[in-house]
Amino acid sequence: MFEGKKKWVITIAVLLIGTIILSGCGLNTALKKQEKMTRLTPVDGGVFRFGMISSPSALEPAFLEEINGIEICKELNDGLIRYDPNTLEIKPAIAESWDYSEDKKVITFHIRKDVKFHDGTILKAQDIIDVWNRLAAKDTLSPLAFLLEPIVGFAQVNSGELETISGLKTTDDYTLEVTLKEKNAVFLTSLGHPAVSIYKLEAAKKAGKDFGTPAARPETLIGTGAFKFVKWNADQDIILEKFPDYYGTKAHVDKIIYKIFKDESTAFNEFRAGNLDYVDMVPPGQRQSILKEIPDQILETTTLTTQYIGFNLTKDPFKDNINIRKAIACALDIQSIADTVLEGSSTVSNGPLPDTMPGYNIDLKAPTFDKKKAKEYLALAGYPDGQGLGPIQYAYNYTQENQRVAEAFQAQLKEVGIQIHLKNMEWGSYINAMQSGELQMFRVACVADYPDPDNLLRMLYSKSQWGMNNVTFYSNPEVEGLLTQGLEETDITKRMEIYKKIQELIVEDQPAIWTFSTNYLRIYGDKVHNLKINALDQKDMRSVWLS
Amino acid sequence: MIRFIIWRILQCVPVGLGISMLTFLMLSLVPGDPVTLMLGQHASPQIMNNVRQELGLDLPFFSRYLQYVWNILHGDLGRSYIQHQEVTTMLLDKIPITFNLTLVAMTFAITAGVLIGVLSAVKQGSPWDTFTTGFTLLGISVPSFWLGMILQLIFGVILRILPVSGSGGEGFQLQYYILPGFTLGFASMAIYAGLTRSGMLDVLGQDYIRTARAKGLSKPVVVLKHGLKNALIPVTTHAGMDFASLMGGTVLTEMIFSLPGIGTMLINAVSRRDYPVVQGVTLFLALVFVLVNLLADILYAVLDPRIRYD
Repeated sequence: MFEGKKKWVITIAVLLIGTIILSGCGLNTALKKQEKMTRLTPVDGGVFRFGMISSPSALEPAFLEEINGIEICKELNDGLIRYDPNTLEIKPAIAESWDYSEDKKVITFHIRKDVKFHDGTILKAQDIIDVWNRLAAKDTLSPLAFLLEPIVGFAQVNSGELETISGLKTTDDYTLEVTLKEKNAVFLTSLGHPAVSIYKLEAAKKAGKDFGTPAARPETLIGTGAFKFVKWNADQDIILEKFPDYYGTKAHVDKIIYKIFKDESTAFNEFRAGNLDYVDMVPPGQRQSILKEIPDQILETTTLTTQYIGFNLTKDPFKDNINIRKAIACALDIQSIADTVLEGSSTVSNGPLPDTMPGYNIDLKAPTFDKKKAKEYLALAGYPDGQGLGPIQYAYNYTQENQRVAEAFQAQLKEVGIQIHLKNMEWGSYINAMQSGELQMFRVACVADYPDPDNLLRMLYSKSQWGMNNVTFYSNPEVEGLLTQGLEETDITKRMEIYKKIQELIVEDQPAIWTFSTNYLRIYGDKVHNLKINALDQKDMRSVWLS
Repeated sequence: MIRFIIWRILQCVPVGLGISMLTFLMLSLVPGDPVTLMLGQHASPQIMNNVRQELGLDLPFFSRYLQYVWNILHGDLGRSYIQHQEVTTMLLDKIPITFNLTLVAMTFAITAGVLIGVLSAVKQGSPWDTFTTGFTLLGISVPSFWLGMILQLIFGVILRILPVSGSGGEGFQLQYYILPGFTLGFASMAIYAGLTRSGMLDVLGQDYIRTARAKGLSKPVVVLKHGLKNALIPVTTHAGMDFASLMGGTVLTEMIFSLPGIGTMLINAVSRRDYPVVQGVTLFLALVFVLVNLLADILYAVLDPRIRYD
């Protein structure tokens, strides 16, 4: 009997030890197998397996509100311009050049004559007008129609009065004339957004309600990009293949398979097993270990995002009391939270724009961590040592990371005598509560649509956006005036100076405490070359090649 | 019996109505605006109102509910707010994956569970019995997401003998369902092992088993033919309900293994407030429960002739 038990114990022990040794060795072997890149000449061919976390909602340009849909649509459809993958400068795409009229209100786009749709037909200027009319139409219900708002006649189409935008016309098959309501230095940049990219409208009409859904077929999703649509297996993968008749620099890889995951750890396991060439996100809590394990297969990108603690300027105690806002700003040690709680995954902000945005002002003097000053401001605000100041509510949308950051804020503010109550909220309710001005103090995160300072500054700090994107209800007539000036100024140097001044004014008014810009960690396989990711978090799939 | 079956089928109608009412009510009470989630940060209040009108979300609760029931009666579960696809089409695409997963999990759970249960009953009090009792306890206690991750790591990443995730595209490819099936069925296996063990112990102590042994029948014949057949009745009845529970409980497993079944569909829809999809999936799962329950009752009557319903 004893002998029998002993055998069992030994067998189980051997199995357990074996599994542990095997897992250790196996992992190291799997990672060590990833040899360094050696070849430098681009090679054509191969299938790029892209690990994407969460499925795109739709591949319909009019509804591209999330990054995964944008990522795929920008490969399917080209716009009049594109952004340089490194510098984000405007580069020609479907339009090979453009001229401004003397009053800068009319832009004439010269369309390339060799742009083909994926069905082989040639793109003409009228195709662009048709697609833009659809985007602006009332029935389309597109939240992104605002991109065409600067064009004369947009409002009539958007309200359903008319069907065609009067400010758009063709002078011949390859010339498009766009008449703007006012001088607008941002409009051209905004045309790099995939929502205004060009696809074949007739095909989309044939698809009806299935356009851009998983039920889409190659005959109904016809674009102008370097890759054409093959198949969308809902919640599994989306397959694109190289378009051989593409007018521009042709892609190197033959096919891209966007494999869709719900869980980052699963995607990373697939990568470790050699089944993915790229993973879009690292599993939570594994950032540091991955940085150590595969440091030469990591791309870290700072995106055009801004995160801040917003103060509701219509509510006490923040209404008409800048000192309480400054007291909170001085009481928070944002850098230490970025280093510890966020494991270095974010860059600390000094103002309303991320440092990757053109026009970013590096010289801003936002209050920094200083407990003594915090107490002084608190006293100036009428709450010496926090006396008389009731608990302030801090709301955020629930994620583990937001929760941990909020707890750190709570602990640091307590040290100077400011009590905050944490309120985690479901996304929809949180947005509604912010927009309706119910909340006191809250977390805001915003991603830029295009690389121009006007985008974030207007959205978040202009009175015209009160109750929509401007949830602090901030307003400063000087800022409004400068925003208008910035919009109309066409000299780039003068323009950027205007935006630097706007940032200074906003920082002085302190409607918020700017916290972090997220740095994303992307993992790629050892056979992947020339993968470029811009600050809009878009990957240039034309340049990537596999060895 | 036929009267019983018809009666039970008729009972499904108010149950279905009740379920549809409850899901509809609960979703209406959940905080959060689907239109805000759908349109994102840029939508103007005017566009939001237009979308609300288009989706009928501006109508009073009862009007919306009646419209919903009317559509269901016409076989229309609506369109997804997010992916703009017919919910019925989406369900028909996803059901085979969840069904396959459940089937693999059930096959594994019953086969392994019954085998372990029989062996530990036959070798009652032996180290094997102690080991399997501990193992079944482990089976019930281990969280499926942890088990799934460990299995992925060992069999997918290190040994590379099974796929880490996915369903392998079109058609049923068994290798893609082995790890998720094991993960999903592990807890059930422990329950089947426990049920079989106690059933077998009960049966093996009966007079007719002693008689069979006295007649000189071999041990395997006595255990498998005379013992197991009778010990399987509680296992069979449990299997019916278990199938429905597993089918509705695939959310985590499907998420870990990136299987595009109805669990993934449900979790996506809940997080995006995609009401038509949530309602469609919930209604479908509830109907599966009702039908499986009905089938289990009928099967029970067939297996045990002493049971009569009419």
